[in-house]
Amino acid sequence: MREFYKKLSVQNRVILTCIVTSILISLVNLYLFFNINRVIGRMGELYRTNVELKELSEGLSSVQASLTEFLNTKASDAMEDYFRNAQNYQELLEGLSFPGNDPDTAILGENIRNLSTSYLTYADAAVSARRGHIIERYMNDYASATGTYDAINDYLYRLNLQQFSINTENYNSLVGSFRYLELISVVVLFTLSAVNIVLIAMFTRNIMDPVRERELRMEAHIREAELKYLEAQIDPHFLFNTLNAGAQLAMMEDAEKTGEYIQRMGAFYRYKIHGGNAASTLEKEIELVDNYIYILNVRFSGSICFEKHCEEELLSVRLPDMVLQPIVENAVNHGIRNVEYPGRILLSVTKEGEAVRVSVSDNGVGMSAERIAEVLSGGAGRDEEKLTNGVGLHNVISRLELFYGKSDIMKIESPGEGGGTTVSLLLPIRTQEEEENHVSGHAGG
Amino acid sequence: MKKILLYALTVVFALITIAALVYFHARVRSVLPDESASAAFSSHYAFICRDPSDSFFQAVYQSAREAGEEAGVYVEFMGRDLPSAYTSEELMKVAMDASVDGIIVEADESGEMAERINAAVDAGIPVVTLGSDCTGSSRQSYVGVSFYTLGQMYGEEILRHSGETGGRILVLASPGETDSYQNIIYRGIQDTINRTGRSEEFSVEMLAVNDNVPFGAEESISGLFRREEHLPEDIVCLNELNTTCAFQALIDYNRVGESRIFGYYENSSILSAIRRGIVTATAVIDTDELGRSGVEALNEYLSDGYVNEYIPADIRMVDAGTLKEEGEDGDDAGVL
Repeated sequence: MREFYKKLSVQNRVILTCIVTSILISLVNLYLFFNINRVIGRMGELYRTNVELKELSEGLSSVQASLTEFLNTKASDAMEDYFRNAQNYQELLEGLSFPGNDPDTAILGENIRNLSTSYLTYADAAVSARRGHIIERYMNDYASATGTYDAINDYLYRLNLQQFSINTENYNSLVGSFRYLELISVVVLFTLSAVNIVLIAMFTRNIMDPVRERELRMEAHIREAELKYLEAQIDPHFLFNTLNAGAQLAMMEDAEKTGEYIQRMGAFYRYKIHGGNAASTLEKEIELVDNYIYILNVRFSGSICFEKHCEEELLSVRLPDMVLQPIVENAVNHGIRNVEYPGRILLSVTKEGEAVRVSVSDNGVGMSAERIAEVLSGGAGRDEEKLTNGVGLHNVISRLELFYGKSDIMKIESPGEGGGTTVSLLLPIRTQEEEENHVSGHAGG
Repeated sequence: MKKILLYALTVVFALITIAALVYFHARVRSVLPDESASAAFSSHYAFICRDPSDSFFQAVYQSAREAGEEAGVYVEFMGRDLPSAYTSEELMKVAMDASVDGIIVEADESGEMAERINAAVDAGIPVVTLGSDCTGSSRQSYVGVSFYTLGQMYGEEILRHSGETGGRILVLASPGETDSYQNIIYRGIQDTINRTGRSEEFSVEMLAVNDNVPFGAEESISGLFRREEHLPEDIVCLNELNTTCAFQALIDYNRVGESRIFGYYENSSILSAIRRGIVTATAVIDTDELGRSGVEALNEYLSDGYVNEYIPADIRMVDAGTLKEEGEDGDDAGVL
């Protein structure tokens, strides 16, 4: 059953749940309705026996009256009346019934039937004797019939009284019970509705999970796609520039240096192309920065002085890839490129509580407070042909927020024009397991 | 946790619903008639006595009814609860016209009763007489006491309580009764006195009590107590009504102790009168045995085609000593 339910679509599950609960309520309703109708029918039937007995008594009186009339007058009309009334009385007798199994009632009814049979026998005999002018006989038969008639009336009276008493008792009981039945019906419908609501809640609770799961997976995919998309914004022009420089180097010197250069280039681009894991380590990020600086120094004849101060135990700290190189790149492009004095970039990695402080400082032109705010808010414009418009930092900021699930990872400080700039990141320390849990938690389940 | 709560709620509400439905079903069944069941009796007997209000015969009927139910027979008390009053003979005719399977009747020796009994027997309806017989009829059996033995028992009680002194013994009888049972009782008393050789010391008389008219019995007995300066030493009452009227008259006329009353039947009033010393002793017939024997006699006749012509009923005398013994033994000394 569970397997069958799991295979159903969301729509079919909802429909099935509604069908089951509707059938349940309908069946109970039908049962209640049917039985209440029976009780009402019984109430309507209650005094039927009294009505029947009254009709029987009237029928009997008609027979006696027509018998007496015929014996008095010997008129053919009276004789026809007698036979017709006797027939009618016979039919009323046959239709007489008393519900229930009370023996006293049954015996009274039986007595009435048997006495009536005897009465009609005497009456028929009296009529025959009268027609045959047998005076003594019809007088005796009439006396017997009259005696039996009196006895039948007494029994009818007794039975009527008994039935009336029983019927009244039953009626009072029925009325009292009817109130209970109404109350019970309300209680049953209320509790059944509650059961149905709970059942629907249980069924739909299970239905919602797959939908939510899909939503969360979609979110994760979107985040992953966003990450990849943002990473893909890093401009590939640098690749071509560095390759050209490498070619010049190879011509000027022996292959050794050229080889090193190209090797470093390969490593650089390998890292970039091979990325997409969305996470890397500080060690690899710093290695990328080293390659980048090397390449730059080759391009710019070693004019960039790059210093690193890193604590060894922090090199395994995880962070999004392609974070440090764009920051250093910005320091190079925005900070020290056009200065007259030797440009210096300092990369430091230190532990700060449960986090790692990664700082990239330059002694370049510095940034105004407005510019800092603009860059941090992502308001800086994008120019794909120039890497000097803060696009890289916007990319880095977005990816850091996505990775860590919080903002204010990055801070930019600068004393102002000519005072250099420091971009620092405060990265929470996470192991790979914690990172996987974070991702899967965000992916749902 | 939330899932457990939902399951719990489902179970609770479902149980309440089921309980309510079960109660509903029971309630409906209680008010609707049971169409399937029906009163099933194999036979229908008529029980007829002269006075349906007589508590003695009511007790006999109750036993007969119980015996009937055990055997699948419905025993109907004819004439009771009917608006008109019927004589025993009229009830016999009604029973015949109602096609009963058997009749148990408190008979008498009248010609009309004999005629009715014979007519019923001729119509194939067996008749058992109960308490008093109709010896001139073709009834199948008589269930009752030996009236001569009863007379002897009264005689012995009188002798026991009178001691060395003799006296008048007055037997209260119904006037105009053609029943010989009163005469047989009278004969039993007389013979018992005679056997002791003390017939000179005692005189046995009968007095007609006019119980055929309303309140006639009480009037007759009161008249006796008003009229006679010296009451008889022993008064013998042959039915419950006369016994009650007699001891009440003793109390009303403040003549307790002047006469010993020997009664018939036991009910709470008579037993109380015995305990208080107003009634000396009373003859008690086992009404349960009487009623059962009547039904069993008919059953036997209908099944075997034969039954004993006379089935005796136990009779005993109850006095203050007997009551005390029964009371000490924890027996119920109330109405049988």
